[in-house]
Amino acid sequence: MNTQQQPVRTLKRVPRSPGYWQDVWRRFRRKLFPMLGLAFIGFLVIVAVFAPAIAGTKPVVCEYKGTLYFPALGYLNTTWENPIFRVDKFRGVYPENLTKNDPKAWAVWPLVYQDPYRRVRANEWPGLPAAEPLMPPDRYHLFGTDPAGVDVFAKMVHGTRTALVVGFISMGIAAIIGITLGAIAGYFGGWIDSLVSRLIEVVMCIPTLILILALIAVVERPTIWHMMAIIGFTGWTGIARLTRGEFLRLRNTEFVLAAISLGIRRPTIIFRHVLPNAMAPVLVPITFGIAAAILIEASLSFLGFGAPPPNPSWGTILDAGRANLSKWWLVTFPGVAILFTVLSYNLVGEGLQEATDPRLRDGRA
Amino acid sequence: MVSYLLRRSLIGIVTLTLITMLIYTLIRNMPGDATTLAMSEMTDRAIKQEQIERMKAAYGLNNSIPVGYSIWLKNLFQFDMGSSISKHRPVSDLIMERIGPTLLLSITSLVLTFGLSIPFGLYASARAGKGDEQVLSLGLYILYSLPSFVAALFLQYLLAVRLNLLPLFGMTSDQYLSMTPMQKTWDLFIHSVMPVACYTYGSLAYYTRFIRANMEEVVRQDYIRTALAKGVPPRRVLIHHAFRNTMIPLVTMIGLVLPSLLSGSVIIEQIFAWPGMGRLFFESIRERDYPTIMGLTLIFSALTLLGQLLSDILYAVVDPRVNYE
Repeated sequence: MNTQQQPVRTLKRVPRSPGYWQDVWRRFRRKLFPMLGLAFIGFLVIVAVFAPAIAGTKPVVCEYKGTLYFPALGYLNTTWENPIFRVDKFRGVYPENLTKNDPKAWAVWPLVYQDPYRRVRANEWPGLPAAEPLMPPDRYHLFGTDPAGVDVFAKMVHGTRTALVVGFISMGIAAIIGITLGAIAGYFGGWIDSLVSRLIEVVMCIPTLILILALIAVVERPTIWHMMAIIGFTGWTGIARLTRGEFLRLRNTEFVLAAISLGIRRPTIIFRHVLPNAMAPVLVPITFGIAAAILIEASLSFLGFGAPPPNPSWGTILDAGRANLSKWWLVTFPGVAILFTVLSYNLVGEGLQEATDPRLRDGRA
Repeated sequence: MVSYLLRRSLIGIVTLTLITMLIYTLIRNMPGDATTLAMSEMTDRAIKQEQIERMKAAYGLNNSIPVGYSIWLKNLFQFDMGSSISKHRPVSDLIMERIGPTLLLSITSLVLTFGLSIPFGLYASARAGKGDEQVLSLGLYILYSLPSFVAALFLQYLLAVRLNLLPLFGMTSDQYLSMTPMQKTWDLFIHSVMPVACYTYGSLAYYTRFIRANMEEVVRQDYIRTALAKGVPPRRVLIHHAFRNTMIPLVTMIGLVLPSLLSGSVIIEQIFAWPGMGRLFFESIRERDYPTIMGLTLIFSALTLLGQLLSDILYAVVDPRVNYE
């Protein structure tokens, strides 16, 4: 035992009490599975961002005729690929043309030389055999090839971007609509509330897939952006209902009364004072919604209603797998990818739910 | 109660009108209509044009959207949902024909779901925190996240292509009509194994988790502790004291299941070429067959509203504290 008492010299610093979000994060962090889900989503984000450097046929960096270029960015946006390569008639094939046109050229290549949009020809890359349709996985085609001879691994890597972007953008749209409508309905109540509630009921009563199919059929040539908008415009009801409930609960609390008596304008009260307090529970249906949006995109692509063919999407690979059932690699890889992605988002949503639910919190923490 | 029902029904009718108006406007705005698709095989241009005009007039495609909608509504009040443009038959006949196969899938699946999820859920809450419970819960969670079309493809690959145990798709074999009743039943059975499995596993996982979550809340109540303290056997506490109180949310869920009984699943019926309601809807969207789309939308939304009403009423029945007066 330490008998030698130290005289108190300085006042002990009182740690700042954790804020609400810190508290939620502290609870969230303790659970293993939600953290694993979050880690997997992080992994997907990395794959999606670096997709052109993981699988592609365009150099990540190259020096050509004395200038540095980044042709791989063309996978993210076609206009980011320098027009000089089109002028010099590369036609998408870089290794051969680079050295032919400029002997001093050098390049840093993606990890896997395969293209998500076209099949590679023989010796395009030294020693690379020509891609045949429906080849089983081997050392050149890690996940095999699809009916058009396109590498499935490259398609999967680039399809990650589609899956993530669809999830975030469509739920972003849904969240904006749902939170705004729910906040207005819950805060004002009265006839505004019953109007919004009726609208929610109308949208909820039509089965989602049916409404989406009908909306997609209206668009002449649906692109991935149309799909995201449609998924967003049909998926906001759950968020709106929850936001409305939270606002109903919060609008009679003291801090709102204080804000009103201070003469703060209504939009400021709604969005600056009440919304941050309602946000955490609302994140839960948003997280589950991202999982649902990814599922809907995959099932639409699977039904043949998805984005046009050149867009790499996990659902399109599955659709090819359905027509060639004996080719197991066309079903297994995208199927497992969709499963893990949806599972991760569900686990994160569940973790958030447990971390923000006051009933579960009081009993345990 | 009567005034509550009346008010709910009135609101329901307004909602239904809004939904059908919305869907009618949507489908009339789709590019192309049923006639362009039906006539695309014809070669003679003059005849084609004349035919298209005749068809358009016959099916009311020349009317403006408000006029067309009010005609559809008027016919509906005479119990006439119109007739399909692409299939040349009354919509009500088509729907009657497709209801059977969908009900075969959905009712089997419903019975399986509730028959299995209640024991699973009780087992999971009885063994909470133990090894086997965690394996069961994780397995169910993975099943819950597995998209049905992925599961369907895996099953097709494994059971039909690889092992050749079950037929790949369809509801009956080609020689179905010449079979004896026993063979017919068997034929239907082996064809429905995979669709029913795909239909069931997701909701099975969902309801098991639902029951377990509700049980978890109930077992923390004081009266459970009291029951255990006075020496009631744990199993009896679980079933008699705890589970009966989780029935309240469960019963209200049953009302919400109602619409999915009839609507079927577009994707599963499409993969297994099952001639049900979901497939009918998918076909009619592709063929721009608007009387059929309207009929199906009406049925689905009416059932959804009815299901919500039913679940609210059931709520008052099972929980005497709830009162709608």
